[in-house]
Amino acid sequence: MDRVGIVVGVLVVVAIGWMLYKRSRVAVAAGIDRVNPADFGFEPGAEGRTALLFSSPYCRACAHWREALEQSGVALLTVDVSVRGDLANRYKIRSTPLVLAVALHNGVVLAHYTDEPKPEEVEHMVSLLSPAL
Amino acid sequence: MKRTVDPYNDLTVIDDRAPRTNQAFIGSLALVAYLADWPWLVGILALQLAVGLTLGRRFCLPCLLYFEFLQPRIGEGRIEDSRPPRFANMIGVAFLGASTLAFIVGLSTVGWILALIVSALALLAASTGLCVGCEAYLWIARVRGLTVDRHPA
Repeated sequence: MDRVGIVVGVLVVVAIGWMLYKRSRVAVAAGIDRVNPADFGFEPGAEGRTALLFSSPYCRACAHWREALEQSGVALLTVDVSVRGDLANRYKIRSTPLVLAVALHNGVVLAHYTDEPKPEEVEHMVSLLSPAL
Repeated sequence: MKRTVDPYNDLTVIDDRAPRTNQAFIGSLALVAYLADWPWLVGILALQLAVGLTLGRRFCLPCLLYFEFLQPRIGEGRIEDSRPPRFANMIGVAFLGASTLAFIVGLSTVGWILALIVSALALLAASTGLCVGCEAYLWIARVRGLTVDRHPA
């Protein structure tokens, strides 16, 4: 009986870990509400909007985001976090892909997505980033 | 089903569902070992992980289960860098090996604590994708990367 109780305890700890992890992932993604465009090589006073894609080697979903955004013709800047560990640390990037729609004049993040791109997510990003806006 | 990577030859990458199968296998069997009071099973799990790490994926039972039985049916998952899960397996071997040693010298409480830590972390990784050993690898890699950035050759 004692052993069964301890096994139940282990499973409860796993469940709590699962909940904390899910919450932390949401918090990280939601926490990036603004970036400094200068960190990504933009001059002060830059205008327009760009997609900012944090990617890593072997990340297939990152390649899918890149492909979808390149095809749509919107401005796209890709940051490989394995090369730019400094930026990954500064913005607390814990997983890739993370794709942001950024307004360059003030660095405000207009939208963010993670995981594999869904058609409606790509459409939303493109609508935010298209030059007509 | 067409594979984009060969699981037995493209060793720098891995279908991310394979480590999760391995984690579910190790995590659940470590719990069974504790429930049934079978310390020998912990030793077998340590040996199995060590054999997979040294002799390759063809000698790792959960890898064979995934690549030969599950993957052909459910398709290929996301392809990832294989170094973080390999590092996590090394940590698993260290913990399960230490646990087995503890049983051998008569410290069964210590042995079970170590085995249950592995079980909890493996089940967490299998169910959520949060692999603590992989995160440790990425953290070390990031710190090492930063050090290189700060002190260019």
